[in-house]
Amino acid sequence: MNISRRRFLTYGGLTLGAAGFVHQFNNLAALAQMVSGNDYKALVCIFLAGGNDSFNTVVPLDADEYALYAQARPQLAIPQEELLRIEPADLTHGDRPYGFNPRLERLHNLWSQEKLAVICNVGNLVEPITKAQFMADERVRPLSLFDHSAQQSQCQILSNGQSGWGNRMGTLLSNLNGNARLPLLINVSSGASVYLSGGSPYITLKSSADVGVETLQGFESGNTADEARLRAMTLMRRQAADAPIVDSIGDNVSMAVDNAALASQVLSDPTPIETDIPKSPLGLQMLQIAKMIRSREALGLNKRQIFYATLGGFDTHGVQLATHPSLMTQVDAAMSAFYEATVELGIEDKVTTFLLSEFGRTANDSNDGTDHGWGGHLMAMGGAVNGGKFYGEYPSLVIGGPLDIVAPGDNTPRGRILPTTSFEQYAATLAEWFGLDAAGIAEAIPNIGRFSPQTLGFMQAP
Amino acid sequence: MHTTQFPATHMKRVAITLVILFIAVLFGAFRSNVSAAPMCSVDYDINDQWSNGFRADVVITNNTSTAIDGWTLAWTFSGDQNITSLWNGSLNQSGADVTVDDATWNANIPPQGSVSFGFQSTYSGTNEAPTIFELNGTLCNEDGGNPTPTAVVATDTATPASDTPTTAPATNTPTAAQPTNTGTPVPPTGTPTEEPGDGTPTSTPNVPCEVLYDIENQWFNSYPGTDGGFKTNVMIRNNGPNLDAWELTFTFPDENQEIGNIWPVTAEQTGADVVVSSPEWDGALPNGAVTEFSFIGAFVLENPRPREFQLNGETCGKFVFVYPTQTVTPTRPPQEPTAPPPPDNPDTNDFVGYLDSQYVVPPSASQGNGIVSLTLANDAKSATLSLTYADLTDTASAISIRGPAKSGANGSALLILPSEPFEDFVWTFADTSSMTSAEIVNALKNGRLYISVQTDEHPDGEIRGQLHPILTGAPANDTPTEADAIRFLNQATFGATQADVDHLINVGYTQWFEEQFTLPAADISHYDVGTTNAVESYEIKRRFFQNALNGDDQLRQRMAWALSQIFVVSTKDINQNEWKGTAIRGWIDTLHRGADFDERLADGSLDTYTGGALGNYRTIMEEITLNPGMGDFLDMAGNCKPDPATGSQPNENYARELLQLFVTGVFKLNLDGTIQVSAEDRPIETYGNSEVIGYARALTAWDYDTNDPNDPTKFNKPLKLRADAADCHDTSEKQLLDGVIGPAGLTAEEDLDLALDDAFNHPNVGPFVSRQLIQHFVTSDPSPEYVARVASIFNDNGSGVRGDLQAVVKAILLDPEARGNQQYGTTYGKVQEPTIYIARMLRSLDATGQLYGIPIESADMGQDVFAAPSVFNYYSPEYRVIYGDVDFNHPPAELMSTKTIIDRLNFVNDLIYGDIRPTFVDDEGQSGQKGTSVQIDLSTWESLATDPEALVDELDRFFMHGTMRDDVRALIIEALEAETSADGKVKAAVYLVLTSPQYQVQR
Repeated sequence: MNISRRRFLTYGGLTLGAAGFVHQFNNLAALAQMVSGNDYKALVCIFLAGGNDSFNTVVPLDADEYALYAQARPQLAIPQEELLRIEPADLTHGDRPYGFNPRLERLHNLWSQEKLAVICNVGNLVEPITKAQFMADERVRPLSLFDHSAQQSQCQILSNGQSGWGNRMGTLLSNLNGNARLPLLINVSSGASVYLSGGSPYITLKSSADVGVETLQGFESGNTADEARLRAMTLMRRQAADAPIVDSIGDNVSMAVDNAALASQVLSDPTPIETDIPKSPLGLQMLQIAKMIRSREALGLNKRQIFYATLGGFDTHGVQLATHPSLMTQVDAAMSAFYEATVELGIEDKVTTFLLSEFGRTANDSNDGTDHGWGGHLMAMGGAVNGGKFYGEYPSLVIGGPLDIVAPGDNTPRGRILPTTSFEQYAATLAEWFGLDAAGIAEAIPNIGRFSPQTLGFMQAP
Repeated sequence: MHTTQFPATHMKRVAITLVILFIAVLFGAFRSNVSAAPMCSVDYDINDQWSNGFRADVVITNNTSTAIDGWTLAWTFSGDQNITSLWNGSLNQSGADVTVDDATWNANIPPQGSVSFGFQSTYSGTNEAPTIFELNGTLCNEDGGNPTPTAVVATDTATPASDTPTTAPATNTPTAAQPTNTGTPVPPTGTPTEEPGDGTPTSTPNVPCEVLYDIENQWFNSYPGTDGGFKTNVMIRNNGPNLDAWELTFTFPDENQEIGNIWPVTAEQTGADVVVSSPEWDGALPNGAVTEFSFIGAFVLENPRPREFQLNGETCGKFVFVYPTQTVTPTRPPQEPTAPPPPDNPDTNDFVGYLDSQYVVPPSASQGNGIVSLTLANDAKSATLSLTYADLTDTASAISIRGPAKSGANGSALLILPSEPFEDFVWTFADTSSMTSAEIVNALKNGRLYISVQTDEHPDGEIRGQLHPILTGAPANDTPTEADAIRFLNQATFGATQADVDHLINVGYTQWFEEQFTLPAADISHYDVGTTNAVESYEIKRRFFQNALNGDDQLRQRMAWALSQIFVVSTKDINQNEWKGTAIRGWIDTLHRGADFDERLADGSLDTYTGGALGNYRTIMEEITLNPGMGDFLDMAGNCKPDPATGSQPNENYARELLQLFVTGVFKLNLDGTIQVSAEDRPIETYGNSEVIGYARALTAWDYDTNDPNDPTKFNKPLKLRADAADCHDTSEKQLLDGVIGPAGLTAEEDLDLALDDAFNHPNVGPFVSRQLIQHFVTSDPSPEYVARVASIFNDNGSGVRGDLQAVVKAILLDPEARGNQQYGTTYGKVQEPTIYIARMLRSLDATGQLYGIPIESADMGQDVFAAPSVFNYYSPEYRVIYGDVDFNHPPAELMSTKTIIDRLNFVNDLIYGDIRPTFVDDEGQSGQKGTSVQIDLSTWESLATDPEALVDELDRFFMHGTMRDDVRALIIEALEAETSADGKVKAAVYLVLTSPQYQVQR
């Protein structure tokens, strides 16, 4: 085992001070000057933690199919007349109508404007697999199916990866940002982000009600004693100890102090985002993202940014009728307001927002909730999305039907639906738009070669 | 291969001799390949140098025909140069890596134009000029744009006494610097950093063999110390004829240097002379091939490198890296020792071995596994063995005890055992052709005997297991030194106080554990009943910190806190907002003291305790399964068998998390906590969905004690059988773990017992639980051996009891890896999680106050007590950090985000310079002010303020058990100069200690 200090050369100096420990960020105009070109793009990942019940998110409306749906989940089926009608203009689905969850009014509106696409029945797959192959154990199944943590990691890392696929994309494209002042990987969720973890560092700027960023307190500028103390503190966390476990924490602390100071300067820009983004847990994260996008030039992130936000509470085993609709309302309001904010910033064609969730839920209900399933529907939103369409195939929701996986030895089908599209294909479609060529896609999404087609067409040409 | 660079500030500059600097000739050669068309040149000119500092000017020239708009220059120092000031640019130095950005006004470098900047820096030892520079990510030439690589640039070190910079002439001969270490902890110095090339050989071998002797790590066994240990990796290239077996001989320069543990080769040492022999199973070393081995050694005061090596009698030269090479790497034993070996005199007669195909040398391809236990008779004339195995390709053809050999090497057969699994087989020792009976006993005690199981398909062994001593006793010395006592108490409690330290030294470890095992539990759930429901849960959080500060039952509290992060219930997900506090009271009682809280008295207190944190794991499993808070949190309450009419199914949530998080984990584990893999190298799953459904069905028919779901008193009693249990309970067969079928027709109580017993007795539980508890108390990335030692105690406390948490926590805290010198290991320890970081500071600073603001501070840092984000706790036990080339497990580091780090630093600021606001938050998120703010007392140290060195040494002793690095100490002392008052000096010193990365990482 060899030890070497982590190299930060890829994104240049994080420190703008004169002597290495005094941080002054009062020359944003000078920073902004360095910006050139306009081929900016951002990806915004919204992770719905717990496994969104996507079968109550996008529902079949056709009389026959609706009947099967209602039969599968007698306690949870949304009344047919409440669904928000959509007609996916896609041959695979003929003319059959579907319906959005009634709480998704604004997203339904974006669908109508062709700014939002639905990608059907996506899940973690190691290779394409049929129900017969699954039952006969003839293909490699994903490990620990139906477990939250395993499935969350898998959809954020993808097969054969050692890091989050957001991190891998960012690493490949980071040198586009010339004089980056912050990492281009920005986590606004309250926890860590597997999706952004890996070889390149990411920054966490947790949102709070006042959407500021807390900075280091207790040092008065011009106070000799304070400056001496700050100098000692800065140097001691920068110096290499002999142990990576200490050094890595020291580096974390250094990055935090530097990044918070810069981010605070940027986010304290008094010009408000005019769009009213709700102050919900997800809305606050989207507001933080909008501000970081607006400040992309001052941050030197003028070419690429990747964001990660989460909303929890989707593990609706019980009382789903009370919890899932309000989650849908929150997603609808925060996502659509964020889209409006990108319109306000004039970059709605440059920002693509997409959903991730570790699995869909059972088509069948248990008491007043649903259990862990497998395939589920996702959405992509933005001006560069070929919206108003379905991609992939909407699955049969028949309990015990052609896609309902029943674990060997278990004779009760629950409607754990076998995915027909992999997270790899979903990711590759986004990666291609984001600017990765075929080699880059193969590197960022190492298992993509097992799936065909490799991209799904829901994004416009890069 | 890179050599480890240690900051030279660790070295005492007592006997620095004049050393001619080496320079990597390789760099020049490589550089010529990449700098064919340099866009830039860099001139790095050291224009002044003295014994510990220098000034340099750097000129960047743009060789292209277009202007460069904005620049960043990066290089890496080879030594410990540390830039203290820089002009005409903007500096970022991280360790040896330096980047300099333009100063805005000089951002533009016109075609063929230049810009320059200058800096002043410290250094020690040698001050080697960097030779590789990157401008905006592109390699530049150095030295004035000369496109021809400069083979060598050497700068001499000045002698310590000299103030005059001197420069030595360039030399073409690379000479490895010899370390002259006498200080503490001693960094290895010397070998140049080799970088991969492009495939072009850089030298023609003219020596029969080449040897690289690379000291990877080095430590002292005490601090400050005289005797220490080290780990060395050795690489050998054979340039001579093909060898079928090889011997490498060398002589240690110092008589006290001694090889302890070596792999995958064998070694004999006579005095300072060492003979290393190739593994008998893989000794071939063809011409041009490279092999490597490693060892752990011991030394006294100095650890110089051997100078001369001979391979089969031929004198070797210095190892020169040639790319590509044909590397012949022996298959390493699965667990290379990362630690100095545990004490070789364990006061135990119990040994355990876990058998697996991967331990066979070389490994066999098999799913087989097994366990062997051995008990040595008191007279040491015989031993009793028991053995089981499973999943072999066939029945065993022979089972033998073999030795002497460590893990990774093979030994001779000493005894042929029965070929079927057996119990209590008595082995009476007798001399064999290769070992005397006394040698056999000695080899056993030192972990050098193993069991080999052969089959027809694997005549050389299908599975193998090394017999390891089970360490049950206290460390050799039951009375700790003060430094050990402080370190121990910071692992075992919410923070060492001076009174606790004195008491522990007075009574010793054994007595301390006995006291902690018998102390009554501090009350945590029975708080002021006058409090309104709305702030109940906040009251419990506050009580948690009050107990952590003031309670005597520190070990129980720490264990309960650890268990609460395994058996997670979170108020975040209790469905009834206003009952959050009520809902978790029983859960907290269960974890602290064990609660059959059918017996909760009218005032809310309990009168029956079943052990809790210091009881038995099986007891906790059952109490948690029937806990009403858990019943709400994971939907355990109210489940009935499948109903074909409605299609409804028993909820799988609790069953799944019981298996995944509380008891077994998702992958099959070896005793040492490593994951079992299939022949296709995929982890083997512990269970599938059938087992989850089986458990969900086995656990049907339990519900709240009250029928009214809107009656909060339902949380005051355990779940009970539903009135319609006969109809509700699923009486069909259930799929349990590892193929066990729960028979049809059992009652709900019988099914509950059977299912919990089945899970509790699964072989995963010992390593799964032990590893997590080690992570909570001692270190985030424990060695497999450490896990195996503790898991053995979990499986059997020595009296045949499984799951005895008193024995487990004692084994964790008295293990050689908790008490030994591992604190200097590269990945040893853990960053303190917020609750412990806060509590430890408050305890050691004698804080007083009602602590109303403290739970909020902890929540801001990412740990809202009893309100984890989900059942997956605040962080994952598998969270890994990749740092340079080092990849290690570090769960609490998941909480170290930009925001939480700033919150930690600002908490220390508020604690010392401001105050912690007496704020509380109710369950609706409304906050208010209440109670008194936190007060701390720093006055005890003010008398030392006139002597900053003594002050910092005292803080080092008390907060860091004497492990503060010299450079940190010097920085703090320097910073205190600017403080004028005694109060100011003490506050600044305490602030700097508590915010230092070294303090934040418990080691």
